[in-house]
Amino acid sequence: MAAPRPAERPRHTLLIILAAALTLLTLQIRGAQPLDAFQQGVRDIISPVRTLVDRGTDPLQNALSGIFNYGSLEAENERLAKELARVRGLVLSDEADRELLERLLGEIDIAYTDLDTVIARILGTPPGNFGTHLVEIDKGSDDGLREGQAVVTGAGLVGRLAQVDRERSVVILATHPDFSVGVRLVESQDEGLASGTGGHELRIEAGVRLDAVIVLNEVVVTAGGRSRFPADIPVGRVTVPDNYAEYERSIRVELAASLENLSFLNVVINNGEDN
Amino acid sequence: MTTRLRFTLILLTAGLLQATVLAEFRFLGVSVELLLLVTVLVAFHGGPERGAWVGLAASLIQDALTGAPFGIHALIYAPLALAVSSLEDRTVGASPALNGLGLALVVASGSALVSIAGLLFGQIAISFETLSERAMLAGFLTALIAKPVNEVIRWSVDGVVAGEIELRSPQRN
Repeated sequence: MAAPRPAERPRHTLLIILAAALTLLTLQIRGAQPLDAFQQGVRDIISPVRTLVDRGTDPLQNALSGIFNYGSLEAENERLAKELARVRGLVLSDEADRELLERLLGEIDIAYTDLDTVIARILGTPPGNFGTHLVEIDKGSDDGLREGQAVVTGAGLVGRLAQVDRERSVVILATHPDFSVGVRLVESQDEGLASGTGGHELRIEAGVRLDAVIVLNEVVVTAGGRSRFPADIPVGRVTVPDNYAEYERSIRVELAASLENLSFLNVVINNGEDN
Repeated sequence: MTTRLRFTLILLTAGLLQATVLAEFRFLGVSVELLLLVTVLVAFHGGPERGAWVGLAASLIQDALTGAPFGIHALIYAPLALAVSSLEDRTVGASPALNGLGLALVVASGSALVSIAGLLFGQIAISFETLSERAMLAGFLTALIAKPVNEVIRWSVDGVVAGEIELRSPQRN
């Protein structure tokens, strides 16, 4: 037999709850520190349990992945084998090219490879289904990470740290519409602001002159300067230069770093000033 | 054990499961919406008042776990609890399959509405196509685990385990 329900005042209750929710929402969006700290505290408390479960479920996850993704794993193995053969063939010519590369990097003052970074493993996406274009990594403030730091791979810019807890952090990927970065087009030397589109590319809509001639496949790097990101991190290549725009340019950039199948990332913990 | 204590225990357990096991096992990047499921079932069995308060607590736990701004899930969970509680009488005698379908639709709606709220407040970026696909998948996945959770929620609301027979002593004149 069902227990008797308490007296129902649903509408008043709903109004009170909605008012409380809107108040909390407004406070947090406007940057109320105690709320952020509280959320971070909750995540820090749960973090050791999550790490334990993560490690405990790894074998089962691998087994399930092997069962459900057997075909794609086989294709991936084949692709990697071919890639390995190709890379082995390139090693000798790379030796010869290295000297030339170092000379060129010295000439244009690119210190990308000298940045101090922390290597982090990707754990997956944050709990729940709320976020998109976000990944969670296994390093946090205990490892010297701070919000806003650039995240890169060997191929170039991947995103920035959006949320840093003690042992974990969340990376907002460069394709997220909230992501923006000051960029420089290497050949035309024009600078602009590139933003994520929610798709697979970035778009430069501000800063580049209307009469600047941008070539297809022109390399785009971070601009540095007052930006939170170090200068000269490769961002990608221009796929749509939009040279005939009449009012506002919309240049599309394909990212240099692949955001699919990432396993490890580098978080840049200084912005190259020491170099 | 009091009803409040049972709800607290269930919410904390659901939050922990959502952040650990359910976050690890995703299908096409989508995970089960356990805290939303708890809200819906409490509203269904316990009425709108309880549903709304449990919805508020569940949504705050969800916000803390996902890193979403506090309150954004509550904007959806509480009204959804109110809407669901009005369905209880109308679904008497419905087949389990129909109940499951209804539950999947409610969870999918809740998940989609949270994403839309996130979009409106500029907190997430997602196309409407992806949003609807993810919401429907979340609804389907959540419905798969609804039966055992339903039993636990009925216990938390009524204080009796399903199938338990209530013995009454005969009235003597």
